[in-house]
Amino acid sequence: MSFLSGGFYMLLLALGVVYFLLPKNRRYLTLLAGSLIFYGLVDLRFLPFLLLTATAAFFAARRMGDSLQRQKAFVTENRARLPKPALEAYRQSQSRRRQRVFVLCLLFNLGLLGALKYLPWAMDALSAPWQIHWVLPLGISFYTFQSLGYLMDVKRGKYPPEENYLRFLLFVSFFPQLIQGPISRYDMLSTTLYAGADFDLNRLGRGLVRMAWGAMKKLLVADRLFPLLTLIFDTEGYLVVPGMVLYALRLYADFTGGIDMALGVGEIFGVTLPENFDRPYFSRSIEEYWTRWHISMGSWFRDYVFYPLNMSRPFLRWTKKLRARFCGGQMSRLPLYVSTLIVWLLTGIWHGAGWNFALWGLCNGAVMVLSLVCRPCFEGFHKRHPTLKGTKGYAAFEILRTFGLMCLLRLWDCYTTPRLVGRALLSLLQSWDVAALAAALVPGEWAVLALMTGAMVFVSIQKGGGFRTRYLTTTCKLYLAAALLLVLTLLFGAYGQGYAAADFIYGRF
Amino acid sequence: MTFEQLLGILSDLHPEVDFEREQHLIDERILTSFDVVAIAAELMEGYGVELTAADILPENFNSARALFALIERLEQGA
Repeated sequence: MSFLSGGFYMLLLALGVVYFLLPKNRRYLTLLAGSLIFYGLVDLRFLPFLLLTATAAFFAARRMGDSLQRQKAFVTENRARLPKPALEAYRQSQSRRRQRVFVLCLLFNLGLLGALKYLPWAMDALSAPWQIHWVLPLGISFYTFQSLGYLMDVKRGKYPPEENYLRFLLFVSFFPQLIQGPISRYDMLSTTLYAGADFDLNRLGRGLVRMAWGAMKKLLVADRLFPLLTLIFDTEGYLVVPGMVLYALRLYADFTGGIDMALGVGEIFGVTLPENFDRPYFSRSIEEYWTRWHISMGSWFRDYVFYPLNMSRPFLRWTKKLRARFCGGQMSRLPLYVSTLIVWLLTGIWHGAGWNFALWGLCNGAVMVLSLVCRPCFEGFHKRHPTLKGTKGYAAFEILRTFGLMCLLRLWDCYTTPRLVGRALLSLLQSWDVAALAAALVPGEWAVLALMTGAMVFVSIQKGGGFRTRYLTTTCKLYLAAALLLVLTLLFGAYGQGYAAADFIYGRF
Repeated sequence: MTFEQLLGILSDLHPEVDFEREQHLIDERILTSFDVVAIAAELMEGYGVELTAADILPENFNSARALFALIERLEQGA
C-alpha cells in the first residue's frame, strides 16, 4: 500500500470517520490501529520488526526514567542528612545504570537495523560463501532513528518517558511518516498526536490541498521524469549534465511531494508533523543546503551524533592537545573535520547499504571540511571586496554553485559504483542519441514539466505562512483548490493502463 | 566569565554580527553547527565551563544573553 493507491484513501476515509466519532481521549487508538493496518498492508512481515524496535525503546526509556526519578527522590530526601560525596556516588551509580540500559537498547535497535539492512550487502560485498536474502522493512531507518532520538532525549532528562505503551507505539508507527519521514521528535509530535483534535472543515480542506499538491508533484513531475531519467542514466553521453539537473527536479518533486502528502494527512487529523524542507535549492552553500533539505534527518545527525561526538571526552582531549600544540591553527580543528567526515559517512550509510552511499556521504563531508579549511581565504576575499556579498549577482552565483555541486554529488545516487561514476563523467564529451531522448517524452509532457516547475518555484517562495495562508483564505477556496489540483493531476499525471507508479525514492531508505 | 568576554568570543567568530541585539542566531542560521562546536570548545577550554551535548539546544544559543544565562546556570550548578 502506498500513498497513491486506492486502498490508502479507503483506509483514510474509514479512519477519518471512526476518529471523529470516538471520544477525544480514545482517538489516538484509531490512529494506532490505522498505522498498524497500513504497515501490515504494505507487508505483514514488516510489523514484528517495528514492534520489536518500539518495544525495546519503550521499556528502556521507562527504566531510565525510573532511575532518574529514584535519583531525584534520593537526593531530595537525603540532601540534609548525607554528605555530598555520598549523594554524588549515588548519582553516579544511577547514571551508570541508565548508561547500561541505553547502550543495550542502542545495540539492539541498531543491531536489528544493521542485520536487516546492511548484513546482506556486507555478505555480498565480501563474497561470503553464503548469501542472505531477508526482508527489509520499509522505513526501518526512519522509525529506528525516531525511536533512538526519543531514547537519547529521555536519557538526557529532556522529558519524562511515555508511560502508555500504545501511545508510544503510535509515536513510532504513525502511518503518514512511517515510510519516508519526517523523523519527528517526541516532545514536538506528542503535543498534537494524542490531543484528539475535533473535526474542522477548514483544517480538513488545508490538509486535502496539501495532499493533492504532493500527489501532483509526484505524478506530474517525479513520475513523468522517471522513464526519461532511466534512459539518460542507462546510456552515456553529454546529456548526463541535463540529466543531473532533471534528476534534482525529480528528487525534489518526489521527496517533497511525499512529505506534503504526509503532512497533509497529519493535518486532517490535527497532527502537526515537522516541515522537512525550506527551499533547499536556494541555498548559498552546501552547509546551508543540508539545513534546508531533509531537515529532520540533518538535525537528527547534528543533535544526536555531531554534537555528542564533538563534546565527548576523547574529542575534547584531542582538541585541547592540538590547540596547545598548534596555537589555534588549522590543525587544531582536526577533530571537527574528523567528526564532520564521520557524521557524513554515517549519513551516507543511513541512505542505503552500498559503497556509492558511503562515498556520497564522504564526498559531502569532504566538501564541508574543504569549505571550513578555506573559510579564512573566503573571509579575506570578502574583506577586500566588502560590497560583493550583498549583491544579487553574487547571491545567484552562490546558489548556482551550490546547486551544481549537489548535482555532481548526486552522481553517486544515480550510478552505483565508482567505475560507473567515472565513466559517466568521462562520457560527458561523447555525443548522444538525441532522437531516442526526444521519443521519451512528447512536447506536451515537456510543457507540463515546465509549468509544474514554475508552479513549484512560485509556491515555495511564498512568504507569510505559505501559499495556502496567503491565497486560500476561505474554506470554500480551499476545497475548490483541492478539487482543481485533483482534476489537474487526473488530467496530466503519469498513471493509467500499463503504468506503474514509481515508489517514493526516500521510501527505500 | 563575564558577558563581555562571551561577546569577544562570538565576535571573533562572526565580526559582522551584532551579538548584543541578535535574538535568532540559530533560527536565522547565523551560527552554524560548526560555529556552535567552536564556541563550546572555547568556553570549555578557555573558561572551564562544563558544557555537555544536552546543553546544545537552539534556545541556549539563539542569543548571546541566552548563552550567557546558560553559562551562569552551569557555573552555579558546579
